[in-house]
Amino acid sequence: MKHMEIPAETIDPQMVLRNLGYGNSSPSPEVSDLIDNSLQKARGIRGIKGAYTVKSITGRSDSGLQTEFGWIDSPRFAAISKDASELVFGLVTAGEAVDEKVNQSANMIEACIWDALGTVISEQAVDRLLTVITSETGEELSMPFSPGYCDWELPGQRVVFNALNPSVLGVSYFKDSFMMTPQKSVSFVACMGKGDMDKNPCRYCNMKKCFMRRK
Amino acid sequence: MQSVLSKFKEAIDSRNRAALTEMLPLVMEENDLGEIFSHGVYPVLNNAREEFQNRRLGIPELLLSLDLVSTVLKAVSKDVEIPKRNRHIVLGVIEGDTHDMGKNIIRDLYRGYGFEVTDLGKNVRVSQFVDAAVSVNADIVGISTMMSTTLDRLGEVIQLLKEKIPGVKVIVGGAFINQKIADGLKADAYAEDAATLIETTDGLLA
Ligand code: B12
Repeated sequence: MKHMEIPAETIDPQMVLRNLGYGNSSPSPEVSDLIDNSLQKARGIRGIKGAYTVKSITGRSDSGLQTEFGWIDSPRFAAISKDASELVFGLVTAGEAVDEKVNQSANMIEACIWDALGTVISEQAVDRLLTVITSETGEELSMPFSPGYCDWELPGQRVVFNALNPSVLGVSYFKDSFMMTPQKSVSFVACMGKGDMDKNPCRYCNMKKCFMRRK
Repeated sequence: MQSVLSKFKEAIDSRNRAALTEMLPLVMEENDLGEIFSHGVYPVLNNAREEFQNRRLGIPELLLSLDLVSTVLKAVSKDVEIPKRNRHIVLGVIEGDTHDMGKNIIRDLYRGYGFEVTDLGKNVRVSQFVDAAVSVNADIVGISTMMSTTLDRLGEVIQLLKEKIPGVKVIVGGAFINQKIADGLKADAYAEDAATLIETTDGLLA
């Protein structure tokens, strides 16, 4: 397993606004200042981390994939990875500092802004990790596919946690619900191969009205 | 000339705290308090919720409006009859889940509309929901979750609440919940978000 620190300098303000509900509008000047202020602070946040490991697929059927860490119970992912021979298991976390910022905020408005920042930090950290993996392995990657999304039930987290040691990143989880702490953490698998790979997870998700849906 | 009430409405609508502070004593002097809420506060809040739903208003602006309304509520004496005062809601995020931003927004909305809310926080055990609902004699218990792995526990709370407090209503919500899941859990209601929350809750109390 490889793990690394991921910088926060590149937080995308547009993604933060989208997470705060600004679809067809912009924040008022007062709120804009608050967002800018937190954004500056967030760019200095440390403790954003990512880890990954590459493993081969040991068996497959239409309903899922076999790996040495367990069965990935998802017909959709089995279809996406039909040409792949290897999988990447990944985990990122925005870290404890973000949770602290949310919890220690002076009011709900500030808490919401930090919450959105944390979400964007973790989502961008996934992208960043995928870029690192691509450059380190020289292989193309598919979209990240997470337990709990699409047709892969949340207990699938077990497979990712078997493959990676979450505690190395400071991530712990509830035994029954699999919810991770820090809050802004994301686990995933992606398949590796040569050539074009499907990169849009939303194409496979049934939450048609989700405000974060990508075209 | 613009009436004091309409200036007051405008202050909330434009989220202008300074103007609100100035108008509040005047509006309280000239108007029936029930009127302040039904003609001043609630129409503005209803509009803010609608704007939020249509993504013309962000969460921070909705929260700012709610914060202003809470200032008004605090200024109004506890003995005054406001439509939803004395209706008690116990709210929490179920055990195994620590995502509470949605629940916190719901809490502030309920408070903005005058409900009494006991907020149990996140990762709340089944027994805590039941004990709190018994102790405050809750009209409604609201349960939030983001994770489908908590559904069994949610079902457990609902069953236990119904056994212990006949007449109590349960409303559920959270990212992946929908009407079908809510029906399966035998919840009395489901609200997708801020836009439908108050009307759905009023429906439960009717
Ligand atoms: C942003 C987001 C994230 C962020 C932040 C999450 C966080 N906990 O802070 C990140 C990227 C980190 C993330 C991670 C994960 N996520 Co996520 N995430 C979302 C997303 C896009 C939005 C959630 C959100 O913050 N909404 C904004 C808040 C304010 O809204 P809310 O909490 O839903 O509350 C509103 C309503 O639900 C309602 N409401 C809420 N509570 C209550 C209570 C009552 C009584 C009522 C009436 C109403 C009500 O009113 C609120 C205000 O409008 C949702 C999809 C979606 N569109 O909802 C997926 C979603 C919640 N995530 C999901 C999953 C699977 C995960 C992960 C497990 C993925 C993984 N394997 O890593 C992790 C888990 C993280 C962890 N800590 O364990 C799934 C859960 C499905 C399931 N099977 O349970 C969802 C539904 C996506 C999907 N397409 O399936 N996620």
